[in-house]
Amino acid sequence: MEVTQTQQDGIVILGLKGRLDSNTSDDFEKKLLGLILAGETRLVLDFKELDYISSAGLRVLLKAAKELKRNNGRLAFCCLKDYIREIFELSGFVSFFPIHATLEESLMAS
Amino acid sequence: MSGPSVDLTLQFLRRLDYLHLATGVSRLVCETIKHPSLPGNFGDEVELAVSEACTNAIRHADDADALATVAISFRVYENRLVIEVIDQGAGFDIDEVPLPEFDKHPEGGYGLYIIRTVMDEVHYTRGDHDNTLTMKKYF
Repeated sequence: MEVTQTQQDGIVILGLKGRLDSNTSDDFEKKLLGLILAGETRLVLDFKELDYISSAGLRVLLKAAKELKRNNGRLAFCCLKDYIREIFELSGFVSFFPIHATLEESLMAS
Repeated sequence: MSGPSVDLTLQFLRRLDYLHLATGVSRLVCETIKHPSLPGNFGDEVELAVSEACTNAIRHADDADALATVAISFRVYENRLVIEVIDQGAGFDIDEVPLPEFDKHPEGGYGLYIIRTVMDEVHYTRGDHDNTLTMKKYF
């Protein structure tokens, strides 16, 4: 999985490309938690090019969200493909995370 | 009753490197199913179940046994796909695996729940030497 990192108005934007599963989740966890431990509190994950997520990926997102909550931070997601949204829905994630249709909406809300 | 139109078994060392092999083959098997009522997300859901099942089998295997393997078989029948994942780990009691407590947003426990959600039937048997997770999906 490829991860690109940009920043806009103090918000870190991570663009995920490929598959977030048990093969790639450990590296992504290090990256995401590393940013949070470094003090970043506002993050948006852009899933426009994310093709696949499994429970290993969901676990990383929850872990990051819990870490951020301790620091009054915020984690939002945008641009979910239908398949990713389906997994979020069946896992109950849609009621837990802010999810937006576009990156702009996520940035405005963050 | 006719036999399966596809009957395929993969066996690999319990390393996550092989996960994509198993999920990739699940995609190819689903592509062989030409049934008119096949839902558009059939292959997606099967791939997800295979990924979760193989990850569990790989992660919960005996760490001391470097040669432990995971086998996955795919059988396509007239109205259903039957997948078996066989591992040589300690196994678990499927009836004792709780549903994730969604309001508490647990970090784990989603794998089996996802499998049960996307597949129509899920059974698990513990043997003396290996364990078999059987998943069926009808079309």
